[in-house]
Amino acid sequence: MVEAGRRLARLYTYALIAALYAPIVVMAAYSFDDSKFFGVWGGFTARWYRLLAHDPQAWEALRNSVAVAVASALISTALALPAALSTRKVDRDLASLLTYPPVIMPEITEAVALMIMFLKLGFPLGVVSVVIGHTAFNVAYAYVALTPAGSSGARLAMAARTLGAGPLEAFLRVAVPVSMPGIVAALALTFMMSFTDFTKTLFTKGPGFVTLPILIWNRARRPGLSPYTSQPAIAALSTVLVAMSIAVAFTFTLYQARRQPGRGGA
Amino acid sequence: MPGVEVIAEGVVKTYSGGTTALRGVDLEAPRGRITTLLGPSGCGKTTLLKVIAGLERPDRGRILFDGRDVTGLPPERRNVGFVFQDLALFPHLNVFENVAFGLRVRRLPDPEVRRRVRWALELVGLDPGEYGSRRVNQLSGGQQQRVALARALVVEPSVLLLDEPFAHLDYKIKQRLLLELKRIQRETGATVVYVTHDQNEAMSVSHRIAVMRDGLVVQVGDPVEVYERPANSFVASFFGEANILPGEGGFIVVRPESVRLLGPGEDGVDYRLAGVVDDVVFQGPLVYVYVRVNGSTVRAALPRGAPTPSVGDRVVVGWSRRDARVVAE
Repeated sequence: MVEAGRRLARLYTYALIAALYAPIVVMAAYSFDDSKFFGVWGGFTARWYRLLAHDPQAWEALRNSVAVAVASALISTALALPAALSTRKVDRDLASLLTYPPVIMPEITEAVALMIMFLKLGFPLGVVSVVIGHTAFNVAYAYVALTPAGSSGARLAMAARTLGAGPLEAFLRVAVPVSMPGIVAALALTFMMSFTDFTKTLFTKGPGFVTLPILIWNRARRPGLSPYTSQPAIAALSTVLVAMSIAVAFTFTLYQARRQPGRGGA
Repeated sequence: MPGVEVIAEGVVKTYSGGTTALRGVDLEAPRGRITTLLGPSGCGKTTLLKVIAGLERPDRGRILFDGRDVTGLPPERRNVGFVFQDLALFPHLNVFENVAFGLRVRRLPDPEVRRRVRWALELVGLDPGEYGSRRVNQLSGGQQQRVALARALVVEPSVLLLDEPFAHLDYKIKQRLLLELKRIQRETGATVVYVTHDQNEAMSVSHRIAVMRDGLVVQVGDPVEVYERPANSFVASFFGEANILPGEGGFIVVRPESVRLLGPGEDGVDYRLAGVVDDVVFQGPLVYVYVRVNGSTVRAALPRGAPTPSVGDRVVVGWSRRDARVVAE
């Protein structure tokens, strides 16, 4: 009876995982399909990827996506770090209070708010406004990711001060290295948030600026007009986006696993 | 490294939440002595230690090191050694580099750093060759404690500040480290301020004890003095065990070991009270007899082997005038 229940639970878990990944697997498989007709397997081909490899717009979108994500990850983590390292409990409480709302706010609201703000300020829409828009909200995520490591970093920095280190030296020699797991987590999280972001980018990008998610959207809404906008080609582009996201997440997990005590971490 | 004399003058500290941690504390920690701040949690002892270290800025009052006002100086310019309750060892550095930290930030040359780290590790009983390259999280609690002590001592601090450093260790290791702390203090001549809530620790380690309560120092003296002449019933019950009985002019304080059980016709005491034995508790070298007298309980500590009554026996307890102390509150 217990054994049967356990088997059922395991079956359920597998089913859940299958349901989670099925759409992505189908999409990835479809990107290797040598058929023009949806739902008919026409044999394996890599030609959609060859097409992308010679697609200047895809390369531009990829470059833009990486540039925006790297910039936003670095800026938001750098901005959140001093707050996360604050030693005063009042400051920490206030920061926590202010950072959680953006995390739960609907993204479309954020996007519209950003767009209105940029238009009211007369700020030109383009790569800079996209980076600012992403960063404004990524700071909250970076802070949340930094807090656990940051609080011990702050504590140990005080110990460094009693040993004769000035504020800057305590920060660089102790707080930053001690907070490194949190810093890496914040960088990875904000990079992913930014790299995969669609809504905020769409509302703040201005004409002509494309990122990977924007390019996918542009092509998906008018399918079939050219080889680039054919469904397998869009599937291939989406697969590239997913693969890169998984690669970043995997690298991060690997980094964390290596830091576990008893696993011979650095 | 002879330490400095540390003086706190009228130190007031109120936290931003509105809690007053220190309400005008005066303290004198003599040069080359161990002064203990003893009190229950929340009495302000850790805050006072942080004010001495420069980790907290007092709202009012001054801190003097050998007469020099250091109140405005940041911690890194006070040359203190601080051992935190949770040790605060640097997890990204090995044992050697943890101890070397204070010397590295002082930009000492490498051979000097190596020499002094070796000295400090040997002082606390860790073999530099065996432990130097270990990661701090691979050490036992007691070993981590020694590393924290070595890290604080290696800079030859003006004053060594210890915030309940042995609180999390088991009894035997704690006793051994307390003895070693005394030895290290003797060898180095350091001024030590030691924070604890544990009266036994305070008794075994201190030259001088400051008993704290509610942000004030309520009594200062050497351990024997504080034990024999507690200023009030709080000190009497916090430092050692005490019978506190209502009497004329306040309370009568009598230590359990001063209470005698009197046989019929036995004399030699100034006060005597009749009562009934409530409980008899064996505690190694001593046997505690709890006697109910007029609604209060008097504890008598008898040496093991002395005739012991049984529960329910009617007995007479007594003590002499010189063993009783009357306090106002």
